[in-house]
Amino acid sequence: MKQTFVLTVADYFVKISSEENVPVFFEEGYSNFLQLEEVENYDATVVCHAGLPDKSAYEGEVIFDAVLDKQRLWQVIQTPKERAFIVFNPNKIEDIQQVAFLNDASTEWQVYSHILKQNEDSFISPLSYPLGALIMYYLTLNSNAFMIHASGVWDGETGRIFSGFSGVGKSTMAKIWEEDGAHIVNDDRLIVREVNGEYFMYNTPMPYADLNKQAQVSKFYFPFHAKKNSAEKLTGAQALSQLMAFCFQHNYDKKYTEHLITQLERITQNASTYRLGVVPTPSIIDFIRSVEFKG
Amino acid sequence: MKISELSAAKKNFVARAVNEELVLVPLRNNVADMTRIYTLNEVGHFIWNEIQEGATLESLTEKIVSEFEVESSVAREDLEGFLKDLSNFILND
Repeated sequence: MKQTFVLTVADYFVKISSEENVPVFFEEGYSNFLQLEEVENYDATVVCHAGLPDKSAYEGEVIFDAVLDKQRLWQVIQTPKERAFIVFNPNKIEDIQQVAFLNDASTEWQVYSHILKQNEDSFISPLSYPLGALIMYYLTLNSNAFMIHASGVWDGETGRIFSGFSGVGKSTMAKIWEEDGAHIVNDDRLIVREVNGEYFMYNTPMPYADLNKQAQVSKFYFPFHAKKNSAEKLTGAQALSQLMAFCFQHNYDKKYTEHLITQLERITQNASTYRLGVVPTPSIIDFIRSVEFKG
Repeated sequence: MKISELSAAKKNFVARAVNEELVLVPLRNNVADMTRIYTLNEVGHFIWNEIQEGATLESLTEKIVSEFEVESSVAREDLEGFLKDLSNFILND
């Protein structure tokens, strides 16, 4: 059974195909990011396979290990031929969910997925979290783009990104702006791309369904809880390092690190960045606009 | 850490000059802590560039004195403090 899908995220086009005899399933969050019409050029391709490969196919040196809170989420193994991504099931961590192979150019994926069963039906879910997000991250490495933990809002005139650790108020800020009439692009994860000298933020598929969104962006804020609203403009190395701290980054390869630094160096020269003390009330909106007006 | 060890450890970082400052990003093989990015000021940037195989406390102090017109004793004290901090973050990385 030949199946072809086109994933469109952040104006990237990814061809997803399978010739397996089991259907390909996508999580709900992908619903508005998939189209059936093919396009002329793809930024990446994903060929899906049913079932996991033999372990001998991905023997090699572990070059990157994603362990958070003592839980291994996924790892990258350098095999003699290519990179292999071993992705564990987030709900049953001893089980491998997918094994994916990526070529040197980071454009061609071969994804082997554990076959899932529901009642009598079998299916595969090649983009199940976190592999879908990893594929999107690797898309950014081949263009002027980066992926960041942040919320992004567009008020009809200005796009703003609020970035920081969990708990600093990213989602709260997005909600306050939304209640003021602004649109939330996403409140957790964004791709930022440079297009003809301008910057745009895009949402990516999340565990829940959402529209495929984008907006221009020119302001970056790093909020923290404070007793009164305050803003400190960041420039140069401070702006770059603050922004980088919250970007997705696989720093096992020097060229990826260099690429990200270059992107951030460019954007910090063209966009404004501020450390922002926040009292989470609607007054923060006027405060931010007054800060931007003063420059 | 000895200066020769610091020199050898430099290859584990990506360094990018931004104006007179320097951003240091450690290369790593895990995602445990993405926020460990370091910025060095103009003097730190200068010292980082001069930390090379064969450099000594004395040779670095002389270069700092020559570049920044500072008293030798002050330069030496600041250099030792900087190298200690640098060693700590390299060792803790």
